[in-house]
Amino acid sequence: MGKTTSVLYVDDEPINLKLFELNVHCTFNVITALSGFEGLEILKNNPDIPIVISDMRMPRMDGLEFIAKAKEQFPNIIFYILTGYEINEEISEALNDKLINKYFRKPLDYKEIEKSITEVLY
Amino acid sequence: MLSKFFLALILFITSITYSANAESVDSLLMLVDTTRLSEDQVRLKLLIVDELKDSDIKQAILFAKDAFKDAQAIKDKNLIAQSQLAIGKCYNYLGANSEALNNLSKALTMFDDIGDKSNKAQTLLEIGNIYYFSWRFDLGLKYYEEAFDCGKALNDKHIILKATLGKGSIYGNTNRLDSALIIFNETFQLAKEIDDKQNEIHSLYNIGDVYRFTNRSEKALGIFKLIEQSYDDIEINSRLLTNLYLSFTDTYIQLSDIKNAQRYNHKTKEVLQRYPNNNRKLRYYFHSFQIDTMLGNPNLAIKKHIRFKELSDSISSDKFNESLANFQILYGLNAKEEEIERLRLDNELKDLSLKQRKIVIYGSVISVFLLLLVVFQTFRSIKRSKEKNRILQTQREELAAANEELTAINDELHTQREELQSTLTVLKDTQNKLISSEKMASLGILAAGVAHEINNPLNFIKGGALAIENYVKGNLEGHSSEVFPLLEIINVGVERAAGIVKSLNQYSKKDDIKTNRVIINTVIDSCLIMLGNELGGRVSVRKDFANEPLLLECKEGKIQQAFLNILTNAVQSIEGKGTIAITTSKKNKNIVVIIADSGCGISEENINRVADPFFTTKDPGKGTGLGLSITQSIIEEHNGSISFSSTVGVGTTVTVLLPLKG
Repeated sequence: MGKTTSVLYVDDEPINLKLFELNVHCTFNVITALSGFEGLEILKNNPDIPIVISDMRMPRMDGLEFIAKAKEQFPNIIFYILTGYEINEEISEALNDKLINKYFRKPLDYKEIEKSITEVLY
Repeated sequence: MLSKFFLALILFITSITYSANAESVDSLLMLVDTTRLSEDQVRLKLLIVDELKDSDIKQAILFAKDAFKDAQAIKDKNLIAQSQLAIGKCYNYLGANSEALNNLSKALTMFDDIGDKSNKAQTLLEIGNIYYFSWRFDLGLKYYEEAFDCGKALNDKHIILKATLGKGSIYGNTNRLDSALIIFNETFQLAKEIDDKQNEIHSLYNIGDVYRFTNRSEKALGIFKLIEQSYDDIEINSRLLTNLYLSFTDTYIQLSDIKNAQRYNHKTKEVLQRYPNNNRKLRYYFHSFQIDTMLGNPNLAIKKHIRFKELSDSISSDKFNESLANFQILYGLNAKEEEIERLRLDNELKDLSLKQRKIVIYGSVISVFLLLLVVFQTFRSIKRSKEKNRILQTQREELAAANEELTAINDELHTQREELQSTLTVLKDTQNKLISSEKMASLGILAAGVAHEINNPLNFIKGGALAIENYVKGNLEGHSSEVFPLLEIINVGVERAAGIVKSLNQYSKKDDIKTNRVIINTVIDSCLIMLGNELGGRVSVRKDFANEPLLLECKEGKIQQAFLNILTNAVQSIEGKGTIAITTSKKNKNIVVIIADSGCGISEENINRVADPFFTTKDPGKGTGLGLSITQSIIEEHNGSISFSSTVGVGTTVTVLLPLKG
């Protein structure tokens, strides 16, 4: 474990990206992207990233759209979604289809996220 | 229907009450000489008609008809027309609209022919009144306007005044209230100018009533007070005086000035005792009912309302009786006419036989001829009389048919009124439900939007606090004992805010979540398991569940949330030891769940507010005040209902009804 594991975090709020970096940088090597498009670009250049976390509500391409596209190209990556809402039909469908592994509610519980990822990887 | 009756403007057209002077009638009657035919005699009869109109309409109409016949005999066109105007007025007074119109329109043509503008205008006014009283305002307006033009041409201010007053009353009844106000102001000035006290007061009253009708209560009151102060009781006729006091009362009720409302209600009662009138008495009862309601005397108010209802019912039948009586008068009149006609024929016959005797003396040929003529005449008279009888019979049948029709219409109106009242109740009920569901739906949309927007900044705070915590741990170990409690405070704040946002999310109707069938007992049991810790040993649960499985088609998570909220409240209301009794049963096509706790109870003033969003009696941070509000919206989303009853210190009972599946 340790900083060898890279995590891509996609969110349109730069503050959220900064905080995520600050709070989990001890555990993971954090890579950030401000949109799904940027996220896809990064994945193309770093195909060995095993974990992707994306915010749900983003302009132009929302979290699930981004994940669906990324999953097509990188079927082995484990995806997580973040949402400010309660669980809805879209998210529960994505869970059923195994498109995402889990959803986290905002405000984020970083410890819960670390724990979930660690459990999945090791 | 009721409210329309009370809102209707009570406007006066022209002063139609004259005090019948018995003495003057008597002296006029002395002058009548039935043997003489002259213009003066016709005029005399017409004068008597005017005097008798208020005291004995039957007699008045006979005199009018007599005048008409005499006028025809002396072939005086002007008097013929005047008699027809008089007959028309009498019929109008009786409410026999078609007869009245018939006579008045004939009079109108004749006045036109002989160019008598003044009488033409009077006739036009009378026709306008017929239409006004039968609520055909467009036609009424037309005649008032024509009368107005005549008055203008003649420069007769009395006619102008009456026509204008008529126009104003029509405006007042057809929602052109501002125009009506302007017109009544004009008529007031005009009446003053020509010293017509009655119409001066009527104009003022109408102005006040328009103000009252448009809820400008203070202004209305000002006008009514002006009338009361400026004129004597004698100058105000009894009909107007009662209406004035009624309007006073109504205005004070509008202003919630109970003391004055009571005072004028009492005055109304006094005038009503002197001049009884059922329609006004009805308004008086209604005011008494309103006043007692405002004073918080429900028993008295109910009594007044019962009287009001009784009178209102009896008035509808009284109105029917009145129209019956009027028909009877008309019928009686026709019979009298017939009798007069027969007497005339008798006289003719007698005259003829006298002549016959003389003729026998002069020559048998002529006498035979005349005899033949007489026989022929007699036959003709008998034939005519038979014809008359036949017409009378048809008229009688027509009247009977009209009576029947009236009864049918009355019945129909009654049914319609009942239907309307029940529709109104249903409508009000639906309206309330709509308002409530509308409120919840908009709250849902708002909540979903707010939830997302607030969660991001909450994420900043929570993440920031964690970053600080990590930094202190790594670099400022010595400060941790001072910094960590502060960070803890920040985290508590974030959690609390996030909790509220999370609850708000419950409002958003997510119709896309699938429903499934659950057994109600199972739902409640799983709620109780979740509450296990809270119940501890202190609250005992008594279950009285239905034996058969009661199925509910629902969004399971939501229904569970709803019952969990109710049970949580029940547990939290119990301080120390207590019990919660849960009953499930089936009633008609509903599942009934009753949850009764032995907790602290809810006060009467709060019980209606428990389901309002953000209403809570708990300490800050202990409850968001959203639980029962969410519960209610969930139950209603499932086409169910929830009700609360409670006694402080004894406990609260929550009853939930949900539609039974299968």
